[in-house]
Amino acid sequence: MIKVSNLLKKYGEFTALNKISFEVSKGTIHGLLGENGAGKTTTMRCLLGLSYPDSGEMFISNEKVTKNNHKIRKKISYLAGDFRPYENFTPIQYFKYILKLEKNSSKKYEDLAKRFKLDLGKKIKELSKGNKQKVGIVQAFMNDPDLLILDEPTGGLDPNYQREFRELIFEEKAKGKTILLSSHDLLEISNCCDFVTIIKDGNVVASQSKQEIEKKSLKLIKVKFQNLPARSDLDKLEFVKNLSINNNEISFMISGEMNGFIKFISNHEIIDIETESSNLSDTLMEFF
Amino acid sequence: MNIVINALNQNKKKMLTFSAASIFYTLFLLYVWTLFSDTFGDILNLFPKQLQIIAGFGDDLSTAGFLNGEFMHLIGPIIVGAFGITLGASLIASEEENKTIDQFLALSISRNRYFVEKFLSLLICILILSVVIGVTLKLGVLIYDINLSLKNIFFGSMGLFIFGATCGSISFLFGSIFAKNSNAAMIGAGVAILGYVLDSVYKTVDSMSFVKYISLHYYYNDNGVILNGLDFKHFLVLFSIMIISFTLGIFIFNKRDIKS
Repeated sequence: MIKVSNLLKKYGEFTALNKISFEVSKGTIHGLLGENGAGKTTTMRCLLGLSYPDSGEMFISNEKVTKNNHKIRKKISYLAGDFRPYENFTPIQYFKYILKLEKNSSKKYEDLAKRFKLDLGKKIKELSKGNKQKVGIVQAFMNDPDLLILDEPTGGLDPNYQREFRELIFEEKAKGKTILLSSHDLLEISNCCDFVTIIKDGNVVASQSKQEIEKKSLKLIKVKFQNLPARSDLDKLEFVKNLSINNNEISFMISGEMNGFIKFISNHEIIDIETESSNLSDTLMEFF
Repeated sequence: MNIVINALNQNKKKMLTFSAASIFYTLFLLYVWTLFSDTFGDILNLFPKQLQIIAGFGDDLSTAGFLNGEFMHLIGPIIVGAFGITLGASLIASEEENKTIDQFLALSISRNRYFVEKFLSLLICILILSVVIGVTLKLGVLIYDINLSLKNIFFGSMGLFIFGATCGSISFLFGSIFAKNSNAAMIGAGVAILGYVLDSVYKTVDSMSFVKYISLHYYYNDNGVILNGLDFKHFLVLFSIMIISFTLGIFIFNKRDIKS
């Protein structure tokens, strides 16, 4: 659905995106994860033609994103991270205005407004931050797009509506829609996304499926030996982090390949062994 | 035309304020005129000729002659110019500063369409204000029973429209380049004020007459716009400034990033 290839974007001397590449498959929820200022929003703005990259290519549904190809956005909806509608409009006026511009007669906003308990008749300037965000969510979903680009979509929403939002995107995914969602919230990404692209300082540090990341998830292992192995042997263990030794017991974190570790302990007499897997968000944290 | 309608809607308060100010001032001025129209020539002669010229008064002692100096030369352009400048500066720049533009340009709307409709709304708003001034002048003629032809009223309104649209186009251009409302308004106001100053300079200092060619005010009112209409060559200059502002603006707006 989306293909980003060698995207470079500089603001003066500052490199916001350093030749990043990733792909988003149709019908998936794809998370863009990164700290504030990592380049998530810039990537989305480039896809939408709000910012122009210095080099690189982007494709949406096999169509090249160019400066003049505004029709490509007919099948895209966007929710800006800092969503700002016209404050002197009511939500219903705002939705009708957007739909008119798109020549779309959908009434889906009525159901969405009911679902999110959004008052359609109140001036937007009188709404709370969370309710303004609901206006953004409704406008993003109301015209039935093929691709939703959502930048920090749950900012300002209380936990109930965050859950409602998650259900909504799962429903859209079930209809075959593609969702590109950016967040710096590890839990949100781990709860919602099928794929995750992690951006750090304008570089893609990983772009993998949730399963692949889970495979690499860290495990906490505690082993109690009859006789503690030599420290130099322990230090040779691969994929081991945070090793600590307490009497005859060692504890450490391990990710990925475990064969070396199993071979190692098979040569020693073991009294007890405990393992505990970390959750996906802990694993994602490892990338930061 | 939805963007035009929305822009008109968004700026209706500004339009109402400027219209109210124009109506009040125009009717007040016409009332004052009824008080001293018979002695206008004598009063004018109390002032040095040079000062009369700077103030925009000529030998015409009719209502149109009075309005040419008292209204068309300074207060009219201030009202319509300020309206055009503030509106032109804000139409795109404010939307970028407020970030309301992001959701629009993320729709399947081309930047060209957005820019053109915003520019059209600028012209329509200025035209409405100019028409309000024209209608008020006509109303004043009826209320105070004074002599001012429909032709003079038309010339006056159109002159103000062209002047306001030129000033508005300049600030619109800079608003669309810098995406900063205050900068664009300052540049637009600077051009308009400089134009007025240079117009006064060229009228009083013979050796400086060349500066008139860089004065918007000269092109707008040198001919006594309410009396004689716009000089065609001068109109062409002002129109060219509008066209250049539009063309340069749309070119740069299409090339640059939207402020994030």
